[in-house]
Amino acid sequence: MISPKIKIFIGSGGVGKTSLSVFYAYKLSKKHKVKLITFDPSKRLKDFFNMMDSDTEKVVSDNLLVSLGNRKTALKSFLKDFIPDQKTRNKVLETKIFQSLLGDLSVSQDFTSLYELVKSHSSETYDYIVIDTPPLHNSSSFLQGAKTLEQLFSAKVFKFMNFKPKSFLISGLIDRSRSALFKTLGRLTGQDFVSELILFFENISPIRIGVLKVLREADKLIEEAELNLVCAYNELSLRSNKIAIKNLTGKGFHIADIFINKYFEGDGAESLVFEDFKLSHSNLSFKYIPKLDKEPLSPEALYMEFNDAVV
Amino acid sequence: MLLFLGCFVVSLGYMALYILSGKGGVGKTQLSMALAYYLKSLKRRVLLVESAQVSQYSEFFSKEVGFKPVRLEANLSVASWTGVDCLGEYVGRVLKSESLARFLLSSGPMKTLINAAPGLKEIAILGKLTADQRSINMPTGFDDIVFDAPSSGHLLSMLQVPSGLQKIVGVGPMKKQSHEILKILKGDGVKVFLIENSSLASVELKELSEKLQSQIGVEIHSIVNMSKDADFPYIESKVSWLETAKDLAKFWKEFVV
Repeated sequence: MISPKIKIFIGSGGVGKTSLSVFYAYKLSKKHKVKLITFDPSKRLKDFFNMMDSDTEKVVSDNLLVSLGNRKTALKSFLKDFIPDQKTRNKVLETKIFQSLLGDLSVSQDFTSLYELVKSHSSETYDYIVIDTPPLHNSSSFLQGAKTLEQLFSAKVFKFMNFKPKSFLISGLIDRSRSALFKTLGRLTGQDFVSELILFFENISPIRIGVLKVLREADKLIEEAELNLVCAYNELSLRSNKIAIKNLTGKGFHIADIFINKYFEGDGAESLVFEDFKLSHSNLSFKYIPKLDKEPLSPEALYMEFNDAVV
Repeated sequence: MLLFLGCFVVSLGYMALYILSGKGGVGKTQLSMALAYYLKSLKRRVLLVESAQVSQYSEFFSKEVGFKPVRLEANLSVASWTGVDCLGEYVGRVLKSESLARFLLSSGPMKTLINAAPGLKEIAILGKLTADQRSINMPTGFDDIVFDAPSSGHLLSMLQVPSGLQKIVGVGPMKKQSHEILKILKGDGVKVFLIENSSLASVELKELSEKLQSQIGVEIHSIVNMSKDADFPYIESKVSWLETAKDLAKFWKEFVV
């Protein structure tokens, strides 16, 4: 069985994560089977491969598959895998909360991304999986998404949500306190939202264990993956990534390489900040990509420009 | 009495929320800061806000920046709002009781649920950004808020939340909140600027602008360009980013009336 190596590119916004992901995926695909996935909703990846917004994936060559990480299809395929019975599945699909997860409330895309990662890993198809991520500071971090969701899908929360207000009269003290909690939540959000929420949890309870399994597997894969931090050579990006590194290493993540993108020799404000940056991270290895006059717009152009710099 | 009423109307119409977004790394923070300096030069009291999981502003300003506004200089403060912080405040405000809010959040499962529920954090941040314009709470004492917003795709997801929540909730405070916030976002008090930094018109920003308009009804005020020969003639300078922001402030004159 092939166990693919996972390379994840992280960093604050606009530093070149997508370019580096494309470069590595393309380079590796010359000799290996590679899947390149983006979990960034801005989907810049599609521009490099002439894809449309609506495209979910594209076979670039025999060795390279590019995926834009489609939330709707991923959620639906997850349900299909874990709830074979169509009637039960429809019950989940029909709840308003699930509908909005597919539609307007697209803020929580963590789970679908993690599911795609786990599925790609277990498909025994790829030697490498290369991942382009959203900017580190914007969203709840992709790297820690699994842990947050594990809490939500814990037995404790489901037990708490398994609540039938009808039984209030004959219920004990604990139920009464829970009832008061739900009433308060109702005052915050509206009673019908609470009912929807209880219904949602009731309907998805058959997949709780399945979700947890995916989350734990994803968490393990991310912990073992190679994390590459990309940083643009300018004052704000250096400062911003300094925070990111501190935060990540504090949470036990290990960073393999730091890529300093758009690097140039000079004595501007950034060179001072960079001296400090190097000193604070002297234990990490640095790779430099020189500042280019024109940004490469195709994988081949990227390969030509980057290959000498980052061998 | 008349005079008092007159003041009230004028000052309400005056409050503005500036939302700056664009592709990642184009210089949103620098231009937000430049805008804050420009508004300050018009004798406005300005608050510059980032929303982040982990504050970047503390590092950018070499100063502890948190939920409560920190004064940088006269009439100019900065703050860093996380979803969790805003949500905590939001819960207290809607329930109109500190102790009820504490009761709700004292339950472990409930806390997990509220923090993970889709859209709640976003609505709390948007709620706080528009609180003055909705005359919620005591006025914050700022004339303008400059929101150094998440990059394009993330801003769209964030602004979609009010209409998304309205669809789940039929009646109740959350529906009312979402409705009010959406009304403010569509109104004259909110000015959205998208920033690009290449001389080529960015397809991504055009798409974003169209989606904001068709899906949410939010109009883009302008797409501004931050590159060598454009609206904001940015040059790499030997001074710090803050000094550069100060230099760029005057170019906002053309966009902010």
